[in-house]
Amino acid sequence: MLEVIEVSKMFGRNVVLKNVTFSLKNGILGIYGANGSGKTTLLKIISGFEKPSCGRVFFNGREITNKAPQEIVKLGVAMAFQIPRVFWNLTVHENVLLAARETHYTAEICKELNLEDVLFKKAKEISQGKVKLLQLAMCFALKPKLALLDEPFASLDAENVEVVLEFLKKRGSEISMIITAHRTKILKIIASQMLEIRGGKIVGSS
Amino acid sequence: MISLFFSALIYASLALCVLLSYRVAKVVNLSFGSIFTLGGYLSVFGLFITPIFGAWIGLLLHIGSKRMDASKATIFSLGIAIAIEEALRILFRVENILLDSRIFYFFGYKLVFEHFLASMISATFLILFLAFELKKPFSRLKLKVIEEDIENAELYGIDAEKARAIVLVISSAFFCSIGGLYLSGRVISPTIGWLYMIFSLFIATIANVFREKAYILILPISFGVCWLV
Amino acid sequence: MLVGIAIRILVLVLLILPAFLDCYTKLLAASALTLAIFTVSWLYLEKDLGWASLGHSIPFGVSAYLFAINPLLLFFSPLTTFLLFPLSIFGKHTFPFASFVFSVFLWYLAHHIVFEGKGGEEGFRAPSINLDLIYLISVTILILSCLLIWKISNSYFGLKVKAVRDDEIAAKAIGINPLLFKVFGFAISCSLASIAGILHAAIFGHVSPGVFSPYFSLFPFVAATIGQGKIWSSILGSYTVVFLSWFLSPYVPEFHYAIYAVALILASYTQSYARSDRSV
Repeated sequence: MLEVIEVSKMFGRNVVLKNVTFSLKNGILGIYGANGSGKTTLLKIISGFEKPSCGRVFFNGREITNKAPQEIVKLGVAMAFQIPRVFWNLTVHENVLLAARETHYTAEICKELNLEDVLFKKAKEISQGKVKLLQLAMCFALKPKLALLDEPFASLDAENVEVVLEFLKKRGSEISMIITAHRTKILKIIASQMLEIRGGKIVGSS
Repeated sequence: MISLFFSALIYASLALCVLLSYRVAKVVNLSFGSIFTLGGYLSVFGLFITPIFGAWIGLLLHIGSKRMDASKATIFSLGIAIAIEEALRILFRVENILLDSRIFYFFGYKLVFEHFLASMISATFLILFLAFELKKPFSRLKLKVIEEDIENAELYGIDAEKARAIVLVISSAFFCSIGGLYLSGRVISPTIGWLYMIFSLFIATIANVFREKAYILILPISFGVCWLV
Repeated sequence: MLVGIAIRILVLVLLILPAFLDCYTKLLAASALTLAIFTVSWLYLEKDLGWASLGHSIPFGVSAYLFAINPLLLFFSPLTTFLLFPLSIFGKHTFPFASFVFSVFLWYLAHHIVFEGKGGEEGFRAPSINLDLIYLISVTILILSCLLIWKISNSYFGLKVKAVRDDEIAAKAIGINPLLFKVFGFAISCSLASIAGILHAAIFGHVSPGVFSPYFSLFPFVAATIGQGKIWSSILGSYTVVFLSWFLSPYVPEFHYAIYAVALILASYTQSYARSDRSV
C-alpha cells in the first residue's frame, strides 16, 4: 500500500531524515523515537505537507511525492496533526461534517469519540483534549485507506486514551495506520509492526 | 544629480522612521503622511514649532495604542491620520496654500534653501543612527531583541515600552520637521502627505527584506528608487 | 431580536420611501444605496473569508472608470478581482494596509489617466441613466446581493469557504483546495463592489480620481463598524454616513472624515481583524 523509498529531508544544513526506507502493506505501524528524531517530518512528507529533499513515496502503486496535500487526501491518505489543526470558528459538528460530507456518518463518528456533549459548541470553546478528539474524528470522517496519526495520545487523560485506543482497534481492521509516539508502551497495545527512528534514521524494526 | 542626492537623503531618513516604527513600535504608522502635511501647515507660523507638535502626536499615538496588537495599532494610526487631515481642513478653510521658500546657489546649482536644510538634517539623523547601530553593541542588541520578540524582551528586563515611546515620538517629530522644510515652495493641501508616506513606506519595505542590514542599506536603496522614479 | 426587526423595517422604509420623494432626496438615497451594496460586498470578504480590505475602492473605482470610458467594458469588471486578490500574499494582518496603500497609489495614478484627450484630474463623463430606473435597479441589486450572500454563506460551499478562512492547512488536510475558494470569495466580493462602482458612475454621470480616495476606500469599513458587522445594520450605517456627511458638510468641511476618524479610532479598541489567525 505505502512505500517510502530513500527519503531524506534537510532544513538548511540540518538533516532531519536520512535515507528512510520502509513499506506498509496493511495493519498498524507504530513509529517511536525521541523529540526531534524526525517522526512528524516523515508523516508530513507522506501526506504532502513537506516535500522531501530526495527520495520517493508511493501509495497504492502511484507516486505521491510532489503532489499537493488535498490531492493526496483524495487518494485516501488522511493526517491528524500533533498540534490539532481544526476550524476554530466552526462548531464540532460542522468540522466533522466538512470531512464526512454526510450527517449520519458525522453523528456516528462523534458518538464513538465522545464528542456528543460538545457537538454544537465552537472548536475554540472546547478543551484541548476534546480538540484532539475532534482532530481524530475529522481524520477518520474522510474514510481514508491510510491514516497518519501524529502523537494521537498526547494531551489526553486516561479516560480519553482508552476511548481512542478502542476506536483505533475497531478501525484497525479496515484502515491502515501509521501512529507516532515517544514511548512504546501504548504503541505495543495496538501496533502490528514497530519502527524506531533515531537521528532521522530507522535504527530498528519489529 | 545634486537634487536627486538630497531627495534620496530625505526619503532615506523618512523610510528609516517608518522602518523603526514597524520593527520597534510594531505599528505601520499610517499617520506619518498627515504629520508630514501638518509640518507644512505649521511652517506658516514658524519652523521651530513643527518638532514640538510632531512629538505630541507621537506621544498620543504611543499612549493610545500601547496595549494594541500591530493590526489594531495601525488602524488607530490611520484614524489619527484622518483626524489630523480633517482638523487641517476645518482650521485652514482655504483648501490650498502656497508656502514661501528661499533660493540659494550650491556650487552653481539652484536649490531651495529649506530643502537643502531638510537634507542636511536628514543626513545628520542617518549618521547619528548609524553611529548608534555600529558603535554601541549592547544598545544594538537591545534593539534587536525588541524587534524579534517584544514580550520576551520585557521578560529579560528591557524596557520595551520606553523604547516604543522614544521611537514614535522622535519619528513623528522628525516627520513633522521635515514636512515643514520639504514642503516649502509648494502648494499644499491636507492630502498632500500621503504620497510622501507611501514613497517612504515603499523604500522601507524594500530595506526590510535585508533584515539586519536594512539600516545600513537604506540610503543606497533610497538613492536607487529615487533615481528609477 | 426586537432591535433586529426594527432595523430591518427601517432599512425597508429607507429603500422604498425615497422613490416617492423629490429628485434631490432620491439622488442622495441612490448614492447611499450604491454605497450600501459596496458595504455588503466588503462584509462578505471580511466575515466569511476573513480578509478586511481597506482598499475596496480598487474594484469599485476601476469598474467605474471602465464603465465611463466605454460602457461595454463593464463586462470585464469582475476581473478587478485580480487587482485585489494578489495583495493577499501579504497575509491577513498586512492585507488591510497593503490594500489601502495600493488604493492611495491608484488615487494618484488616476490623476494621470487620459483617454482620447479626456480624463486626468477632471475625470470622465459616464453614461447617465434615468434616476428612477437606476434607483429601482439599485434596490433590486441590493436585495439580490443580500440574498445571494445569505444563500452562499449557509450552504455547504459556504461552510468550506469559512473552513479556509479559519485554517488553510486544516482545509488542505481534508481535501479542500484553499486557493480556489479564496479566489471565488474574492471574485464574489469584487464583482459586487464593481457593480456598486458602475451604479455610482451611472447615477452621477461622472467619475473622477476621487473614486479611489480614502472616502471610498474606508467607507465600507466605517459603515460596518457603525453596524457592528451585521448586514442590515451596516446598510443602515451606510445611510447614516452618507446622510450625515451630506447635511453637515456645509458647516464642517468634508464632515464624513470626522466620522471616519472616530470610527477608526473606536474600531481599533473594539474590533478584531485577521479573523481566525489563532496560533496553536
